[in-house]
Amino acid sequence: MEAAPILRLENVRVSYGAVRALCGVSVEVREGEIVTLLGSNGAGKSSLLRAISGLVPLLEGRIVLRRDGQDVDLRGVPAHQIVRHGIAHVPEGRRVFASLSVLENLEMGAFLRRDGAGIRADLDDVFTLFPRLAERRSQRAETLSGGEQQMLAIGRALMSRPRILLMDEPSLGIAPLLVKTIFDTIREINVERRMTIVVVEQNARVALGVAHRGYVLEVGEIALAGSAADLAGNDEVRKAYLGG
Amino acid sequence: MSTFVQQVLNGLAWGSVYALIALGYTMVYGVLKLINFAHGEVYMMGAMAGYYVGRWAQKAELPMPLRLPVTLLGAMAACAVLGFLIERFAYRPLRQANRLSVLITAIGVSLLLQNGGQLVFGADPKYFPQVLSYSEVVNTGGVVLSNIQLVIMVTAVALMAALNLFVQKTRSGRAMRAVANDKAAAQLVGISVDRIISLTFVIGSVLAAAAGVLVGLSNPKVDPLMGIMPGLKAFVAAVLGGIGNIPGAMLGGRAARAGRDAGLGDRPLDLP
Repeated sequence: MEAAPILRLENVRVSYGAVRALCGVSVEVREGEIVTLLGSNGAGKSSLLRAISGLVPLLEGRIVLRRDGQDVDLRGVPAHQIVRHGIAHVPEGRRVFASLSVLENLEMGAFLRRDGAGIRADLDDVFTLFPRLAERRSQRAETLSGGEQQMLAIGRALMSRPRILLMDEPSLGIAPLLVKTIFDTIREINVERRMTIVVVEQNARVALGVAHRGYVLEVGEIALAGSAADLAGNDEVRKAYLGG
Repeated sequence: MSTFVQQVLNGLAWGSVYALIALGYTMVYGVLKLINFAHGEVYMMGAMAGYYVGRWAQKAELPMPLRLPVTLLGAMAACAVLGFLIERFAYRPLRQANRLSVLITAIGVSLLLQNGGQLVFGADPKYFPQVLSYSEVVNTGGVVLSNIQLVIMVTAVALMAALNLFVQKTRSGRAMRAVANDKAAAQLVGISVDRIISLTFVIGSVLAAAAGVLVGLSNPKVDPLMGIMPGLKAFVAAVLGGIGNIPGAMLGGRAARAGRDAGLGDRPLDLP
């Protein structure tokens, strides 16, 4: 039995000035699954996440969130209100608050929450998930390594208690060993917390390793869609993204 | 030697005022990467508002100990509104514009307030009302510390301590630092960047207003062009302390003025 889609993008178009980033893209994300968006540089993967988060405006199309049995149209919702709808975004390049401490960064993730006890419990959760962050809790975020910053960015997003986690290139610029740790954590968050995750990745091999389904974007359009196993077995995908 | 000590003391009092103004530059730069050239005029408007509130306090025969606090709070409230309006109507419409356009707008706002001020208040200097009667706290070995200098330093330090507490400990203060770090990431955690920018202008303007009143105490001549030089010097102080860096602005203001006075104070130069 297939779960109902929790997030639908319908014919989404996005441009940066005259440059078209997404030319009518439709994507479905079902509750509890990991969906990966693959594609080369400039294919529009990040733009898709930025559109969901309200960081770039839609020229056309709809982004519909299924929430409490009702459809909520996210088009035109300002970026700072998206997190209220249970969507957290781990941006490309981590974007942690450099001069804030690790702890403060995590507290910022819970910016809209007022439940002190719940926040403390979630903090402990994040520290259990990433013990390195607990060790460095009072350090400024800019002093962390790339991998640790990635953990912090994920932890910050989790602190909003999202239903959907958007992750943009979590493996970018990170030591190969840590990439495995990060993706193990992604799988763990998905399995144990039943979190729905959309992950944009250039490293198709690791992404297809954890994802249930995937989409391949090429110059702003969906070129391929299917289960992770199908995509991993697809000749074109193997040639273009998995190194033969 | 006593001249040197006296000059350093004078410098510290004046430096506190510059530090208060410099904080507004540095905070706005922190969140918007904008040199708000109208900030010197906000300081001027603070002194002007203080002039009117102080005169009212005199006329209403408020007891002397109340006059200064009332004047300070009145001027700070007036400039809070002014700072909010400047951001809302001059800078916010230009949020997506290039930085040069915003900079030119800042110069425009500055000129508007200078000339609008002359139109409304008149170009003649006004005599700032006495809201604190002069006395000497220390007078030994040729060194004088007046109660006015003391009040200036204490008020400035108290305001800076309050600001520091706000920025470090409160939710909004933390949000302000987050916005200064990364606006997009701040939005993603649910911070309304526009609200934080508004708040930054309001706080910077409140501090400038306090500076305006404090200067009115010791240098009781206020006029619509009085913001130009202190504005520039406070800007220099902000840069000296590392623009965008709040403790830097506090130190920069004092260092700039104390250094100038210690070095030049006893020379026959009449710099403002």
